[in-house]
Amino acid sequence: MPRFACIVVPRFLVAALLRAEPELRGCPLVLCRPDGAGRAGAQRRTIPGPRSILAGISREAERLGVRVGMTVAQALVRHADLVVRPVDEHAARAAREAVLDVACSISPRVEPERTEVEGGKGFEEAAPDEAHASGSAVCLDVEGLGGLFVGGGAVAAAISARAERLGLDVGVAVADGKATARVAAGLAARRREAILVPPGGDADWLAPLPLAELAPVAAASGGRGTGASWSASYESFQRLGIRRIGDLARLPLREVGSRFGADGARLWRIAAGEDGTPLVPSSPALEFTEGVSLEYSLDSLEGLLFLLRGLLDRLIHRLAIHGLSCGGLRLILDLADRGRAERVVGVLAPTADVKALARLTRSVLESDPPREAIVGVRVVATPDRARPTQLDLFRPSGPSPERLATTLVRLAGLCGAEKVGRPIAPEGYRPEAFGVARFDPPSSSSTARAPECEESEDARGEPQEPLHSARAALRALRPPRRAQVFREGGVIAYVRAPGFGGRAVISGGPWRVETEWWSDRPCCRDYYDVQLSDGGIYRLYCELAPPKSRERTRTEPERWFVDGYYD
Amino acid sequence: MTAPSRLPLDLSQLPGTIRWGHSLPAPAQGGAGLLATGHPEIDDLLGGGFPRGRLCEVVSHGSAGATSLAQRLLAGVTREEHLAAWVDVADAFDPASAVALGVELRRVLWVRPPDLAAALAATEMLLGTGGFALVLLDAARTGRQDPGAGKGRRMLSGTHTWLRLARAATRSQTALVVLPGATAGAAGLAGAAAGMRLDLSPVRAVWEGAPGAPPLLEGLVTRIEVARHRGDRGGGERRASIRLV
Repeated sequence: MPRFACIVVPRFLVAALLRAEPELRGCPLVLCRPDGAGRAGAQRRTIPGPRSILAGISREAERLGVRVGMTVAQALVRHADLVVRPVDEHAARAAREAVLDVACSISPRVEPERTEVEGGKGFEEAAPDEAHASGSAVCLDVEGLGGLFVGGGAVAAAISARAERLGLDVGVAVADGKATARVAAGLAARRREAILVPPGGDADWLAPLPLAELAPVAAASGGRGTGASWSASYESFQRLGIRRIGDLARLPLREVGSRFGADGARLWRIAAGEDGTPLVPSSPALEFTEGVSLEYSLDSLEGLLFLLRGLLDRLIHRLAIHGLSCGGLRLILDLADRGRAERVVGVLAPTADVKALARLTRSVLESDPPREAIVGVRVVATPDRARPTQLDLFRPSGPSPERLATTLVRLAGLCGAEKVGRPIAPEGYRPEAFGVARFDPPSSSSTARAPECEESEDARGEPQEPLHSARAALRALRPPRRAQVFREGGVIAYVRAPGFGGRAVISGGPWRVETEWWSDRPCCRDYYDVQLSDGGIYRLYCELAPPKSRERTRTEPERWFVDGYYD
Repeated sequence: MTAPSRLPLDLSQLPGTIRWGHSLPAPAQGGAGLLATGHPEIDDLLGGGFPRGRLCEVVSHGSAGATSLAQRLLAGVTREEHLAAWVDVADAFDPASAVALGVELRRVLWVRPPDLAAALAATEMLLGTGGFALVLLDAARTGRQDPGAGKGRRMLSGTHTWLRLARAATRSQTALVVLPGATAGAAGLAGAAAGMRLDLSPVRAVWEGAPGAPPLLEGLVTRIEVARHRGDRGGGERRASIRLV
């Protein structure tokens, strides 16, 4: 027999904001949408006005007599110290995804409630916590999870615990039918305890409940004009004296269907415990987003980093319940001039270290700060798995992958991402050429080269032999230093460059390098090794004109450079 | 049909093989806590190699071969399938010449910090990570007298930074090798924190070539003196002129 669990976040919009700004907990908080503006308009920064309609209220505000649907002015008459905030769409989206994350961490078959629940007659009566909330409920198929969770109670406890880790208080219920689980979860959210409907007992459990409890599932049926349809049906049921769900179940299906249509028949099936609506699973997200809208303009980097720290913290918690790490970050900044800025934060290796990610983000923002003040921030994380490693008894073990990843990220934050990695000599014949690749050390257990390393080496070419045959290690000077070279009888006699200089004791060369003549930056040089009287042995080169124009530029002075010394 | 007849013989040989561990690869060079360079003369001079868990300083002047020595050590470490990190303040590491000296680049983490302060922080991070057999801090050209060292110069005024790094190296059993460069002076950078100090001075460069042809730089002959080797029970002076490459 199928079993479904349902997760409901009571007072969803308020819960989403409290998750982003936990310091508001305990305040009489009201959330409103701007005057006469639709949901699309709320994507931007909004300032509540006296006629703004309340879309969500906290329990504390409700105790003061404030209700959803009032205007801000009406609410402030009830209590002058209300905290009035606009609906934060970024935070709401993040909370929706967080609920889905919790569900996906329990079961692979998850269906978010897709309906826009706008309330209606009977709705506030049945589920005042959920009025005007959308996407606050998620159903999941828990059949066959007995190996992981012993009994429905364990499933509900796991869901509650994981949701709490993500900063959400949820109502959880488990039942045979999807709709029954949904009704029970709404009730569980109000009772603040999980509800387990016994197997095969959906109809008996639903029977004593008031008919208004069916409002969420009637609204969630997705029919045309759902809110109005439910209100009309509810009033008709009331006129007929049908007060409880059990009363509806006792009516003949044929009569209910002929009077109330398909929606009525569906409600009857739910009431009779015969709801066979299948679960329509949704695919899990490939990206994790956390965001927050500000009611003020933020123009200091420190303030922005403080916000980002909280967002990163929540992101890492969400990734952690999937057993994932962060493989990359993207910052989307809503600017005060209604523009948008994006910054990509490269993460060298998957990590779950918030401190390291915050440092990396700081370095990116410091190097490329946004041009305007910030009114909204979103952080999108690309999930990745930490690299597993297989230890070997007979070979040296390297650092643990997670610690190495964290170190790489921290090093990238300290030095810059392009300054940390595995050195490579790119394909080509320029002696000064080098590159940096991602540091992904081969597994200690592999006796042969790792395929990805082979591919990488092959793709970029094996490092070229150093110029001619010098076998001492070269210390490169980057960029090469301009030098003055004096010759006597065609032989280098004296060299002067910033930081060193002296008489040439012995010199070898020239060795000509002509490469990339087909490109915009041809390389035509004569290289020399010169030992100077200061004891140093330097590598010099004389820049030559490309072969085609050599005749023309013969009269130009020679340009000498020192690009390294042997040590 | 020959397999059954041979089987008892093979089985009889098996316990001896297991008892004596013949299948185990013997350590190539050096002791358990030593990192060999693969150059016999240098390893003999050092008593087997660079000790793990110690801060070792290689002080040199001019083209004395400190970088060649460090890259030889890097080659030896990567050849033994260990990981190593090269913290390169001067951005002077040349991958091509490292490969020519036998370094396996895929086992090398190259970090190029902007200044010495960042380099010290990076070194400490790497030591704290563990799992690296060798961390090499190339601080050449950024010594005490370097006006560009900034914050790093102030940090270097005391030895507490180096003592902390030495302790971190001991905890992680990593050989921390520091190349202070010529500007650090004869005392080096780490001072008393260094468990081992080598002083390198150039003897001569080896130039070879056919008559009439331009000479080729074939190698460096360097005088290496073990100025300090804490824990060394060998005693006596240790110095030798060695052709590094």
